[in-house]
This record gives sequence, structure tokens and C-alpha cells, in this order.
Amino acid sequence: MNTEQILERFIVDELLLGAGAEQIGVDDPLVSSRVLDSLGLLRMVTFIEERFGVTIEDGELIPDNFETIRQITEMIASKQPTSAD
Amino acid sequence: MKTQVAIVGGGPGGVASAISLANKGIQSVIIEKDQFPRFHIGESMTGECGGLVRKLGLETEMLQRQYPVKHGVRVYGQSSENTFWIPVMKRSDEGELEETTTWQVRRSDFDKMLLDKAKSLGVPIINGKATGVIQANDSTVTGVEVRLENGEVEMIESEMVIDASGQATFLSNIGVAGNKDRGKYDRQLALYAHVTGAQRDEVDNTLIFYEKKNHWGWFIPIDDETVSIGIVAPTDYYKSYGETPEEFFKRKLHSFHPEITRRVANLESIGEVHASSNYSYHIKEFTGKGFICVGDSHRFIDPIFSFGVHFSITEGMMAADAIEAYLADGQGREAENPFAELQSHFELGQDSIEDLVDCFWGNPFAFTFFAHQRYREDIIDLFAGRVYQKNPSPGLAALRTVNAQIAEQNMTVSAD
Ligand SMILES: Cc1cc2nc3c(=O)[nH]c(=O)nc-3n(C[C@H](O)[C@H](O)[C@H](O)COP(=O)(O)OP(=O)(O)OC[C@H]3O[C@@H](n4cnc5c(N)ncnc54)[C@H](O)[C@@H]3O)c2cc1C
Repeated sequence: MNTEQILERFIVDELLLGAGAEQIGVDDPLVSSRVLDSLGLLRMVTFIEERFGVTIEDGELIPDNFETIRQITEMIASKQPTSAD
Repeated sequence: MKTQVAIVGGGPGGVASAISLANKGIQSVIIEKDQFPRFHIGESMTGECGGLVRKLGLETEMLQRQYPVKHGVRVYGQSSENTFWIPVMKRSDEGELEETTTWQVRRSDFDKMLLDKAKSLGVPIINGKATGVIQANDSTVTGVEVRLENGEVEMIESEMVIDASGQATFLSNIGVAGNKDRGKYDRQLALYAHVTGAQRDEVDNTLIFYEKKNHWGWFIPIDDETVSIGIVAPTDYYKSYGETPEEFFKRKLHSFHPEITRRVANLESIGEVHASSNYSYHIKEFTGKGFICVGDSHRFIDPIFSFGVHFSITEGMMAADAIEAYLADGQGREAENPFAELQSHFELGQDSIEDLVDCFWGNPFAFTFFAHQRYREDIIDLFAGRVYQKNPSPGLAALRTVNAQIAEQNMTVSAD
């Protein structure tokens, strides 16, 4: 699974607890649509840090940064060392 | 009449000053305009505040009164599941966090107990209203003018004056201390009442309910039967309903937050609904030749995390220490402000709490993450009232980072 898929699975399985939604698009709003409430956001941050081994800085803990799966994915990518190819 | 220290106000700040001074063998007099017991708001104490009350020699009295013990504060977000808990903890001598407890009190009773304690230590209580000060040629404050209950005026000469007049901000009003700047949370209105028949949790604690930005409420048990409930909202929002305080309060009680609603389903009685507004302000120059302001008499930020009584008592005790040194060796008497250092020390503590409150309102998400996880211990320390460290803890530094960011965003928004 790529990052986007991992995040989608986490949201659907862990945060929404199978509450109907089976799929979330990479550009679907998460925070403004309340798919993610603040508690969900907290769990998301912990999950990201553990799963991807990155640190979300204090100043990055802004709901807007977590608005879509695409945005979150980009934030994670920017923190991971780029593999030399 | 002559004394060493004239104290204006017989609330927690004034009495803590008087008791600490008495313990050092320094004479003082308390001037209080109201007859006690009298109603007052400010019922939940921080952990350090509980410790200070013990230090003032009041533990036995506190236990006799059986005030509800507070183990912590639970903050509810918009839903019942969305909640976090800050336990009351102290630091051991080794610096480890340990569980402790503090109290929630009925202020009319608590304040009278404090005043009686001062009286029992030989502090005279003068029933009257401070109306002015006596000043030397170089403007050093050397006493207080008091209008007694019978209308007579009494001059009390003293070496020092402590202003503990609370929201009346006595010394600022008469132009001795500096001007009063509006605080950030000035446009809020708090409506509150003592109720009976509320459903309480198994263990009584202070509960805070967050509805949305600047809309919040509290639930504080103050004795076996009574709970203090408060609802706070922007004043303009309240006005837009055109209701009386009672109407607004009673309607909100049942619609404000699911965690309040379920607790007030079977109330037996709702006492008088009280209101406070314009309670947030900051006086930046509040010490000087012959005077020190403590507690609400110089600054009040916001009631959300229950720091008022804590600051009044802490500052009263610190003022007593500073006065002891000042009277003993006259140190700093020539300085423009002999208490400049004390003043910045008070501000250091109050600033930390303003940062805490700002972050809570400005970015609840980051705040909750810090409180829950990342800086849990540092946030516990702040909630307890350990706020006088010269070097900010990582948690306090993080709150400041987030606040700076919010301020920057607000600037960009208003520039657009
Ligand atoms: C809505 C709200 C909720 C709050 N909740 C909490 C809480 O949960 N926990 C908490 O710790 N704090 C709380 N506070 C704050 C708390 O009420 C105050 O910080 C605290 O009472 C301040 O103590 P003090 O001794 O400085 O002043 P006060 O307790 O106000 O005492 C001042 C005394 O001075 C007297 N006085 C005034 N002017 C004169 C004069 N000219 N001459 C003689 N006497 C005078 C007054 O009669 C009064 O008795 C709350 C405040 C508000 C507004």
C-alpha cells in the first residue's frame, strides 16, 4: 500500500469504525466536513508519527494541514528522506 | 491609626498577605467594605493553591468543612467522547509528578474562614471602604483613607499598602497604579448560579465544557448538595437574544452541551443567576514606592482554567516576603520602584497562563495534542500553577510557538 492508501484505511477502519463510508477520495475534505473531529486528528497524528517514523512539528499541528489525504501525504513525503535513484 | 502594612480588601489575596505578614511578625490591618459572608465567584482551586492553603495553616479547617475534593479537571470538547483529563499533581522533592488533591469551595464560606483566620492572628479588620491614599512629597504611598460604615473618615498611616481589592482595582482607579488595559477576553459574559439536584459523577471534579470558540461552561461541586454551573459566551451573542440573564441561562442549561444537559435533567432548584462581564484586563504598572497590587487588583485574564484564587494567594504571599526584606534593610528604597523585580515575577506567572488560555482558544487541536500527549507533564505543571520558571518548559515554548503562528495569521488576514 502507498501512503495515500494507508491513510485511507486508517481513517475508514480506525476513525470511522466502518460507519458507512468505505472509501475516501484523496481530495475529499476531512476536517471541514467533520470526517475528522479533533480527537480523530489527534489519533491521526500519533498514527502518522508511529507508522511513518516522522515528526509532526508543534507549529504544523493546524487542522488545515490535515484537510485532505493528498495534503497529509505531501506533508509526510516532505519529511521522509528522499531515496537516491 | 498606624500600622506597618495597610491591606485593602479581605478576599483571598488580602488575607493571604495578612497571614504571611503575621507569621513574620509584621503588623497589618485589613480594610474590607463588605460584611462577610458575602457571595463571590471563583470556586475551583489549582493544585498549588490547595498546597498554599495548607501552608497558610488552614488544612484542618478545610477538612472540617468537607469541601468537595478536586482530583483534576475534565475538559469536554464538542462531543462526550472528545475529552481530556488533567489530573492535579504536585512535584516531589526529586521532581517527580505525584498525585495530590485540591478543593472546590463555596466562596462566601471559604472567604469568611480566611478572614477569621487573619483575625485570630491579631489582624484588625476595619469595616469600611478605602477611598484614597496618603502620599509623601515624592509620591510614596504612606497610608489609606477609609470611609467607615458610620460615615466617618479614618486615616490609616502605614509603611506599605497592599491593594487586594479584586476587580475594583482600587489603586489603578485613583491613579496611583497604572492604567487599566482591556484584556483579550474582555467581551465575554459569564452567567452562573448555584443549583441543587444536579447529577454528579462518582468522584467530584471540575468539569469544563467547550461548545465553540469563546463559548464554554463549568460545573463545579461546592458542597454535598450544591453545584456551581456557569455559562460563558460573547456579550454580543448574549445580547442578540434579547433575553434576561435568567432566561438565557436556563435555556442554555438544557441546550448548551450534552454533558451539561444530562446532568441538569432533574434539578431541584436554581439559585440566583449572577453575571460578570468586562472581567479581563491588565494593569502593567502595579507596584511602586509604598505599594504592591496583588491578584485581581492588577490583572485578570480569563476564568476558564481556574487561576484567580491561585494568583491572589500566591502573590499575596510573595508580596509579604518582599515587604519583609524591604522593611528589614530598607533595600531599594531609593530606587524608582523598589518592587520592580517582584512586578516582573508576577507577570512571568500570569503571562504563562495567558499563553495557555490563548493556545486553547486559538488552536484547540494543537492544545489538546500537547495536553494529551506531547507535553503532558508540562501542561499538568501549568494547570497546577507551577508558572514561575525563568526558562519556559518545552510545553510552554510549544504553546508560544503556536500562539505566535496564530498572531501572524491574524495579521495576514487583517492585512488582506
Ligand atoms: C466568571 C468567573 C469565574 C471564576 N472562576 C474561578 C475559579 O473557578 N477559580 C478561581 O480560582 N478563580 C476564579 N475566578 C477568579 C476569582 O473570582 C478571583 O480571581 C479571586 O476572587 C480574586 O481574589 P482577590 O482576593 O484578588 O479579590 P476578591 O476575592 O474579589 O476580594 C476583593 C475584596 O476587596 C473588597 N474591596 C474592593 N474594593 C474595596 C475598597 N475600596 N475598600 C475596601 N474593600 C474593598 C471587596 O469587597 C472584596 O471582598 C473567576 C472569576 C470570574 C469572573
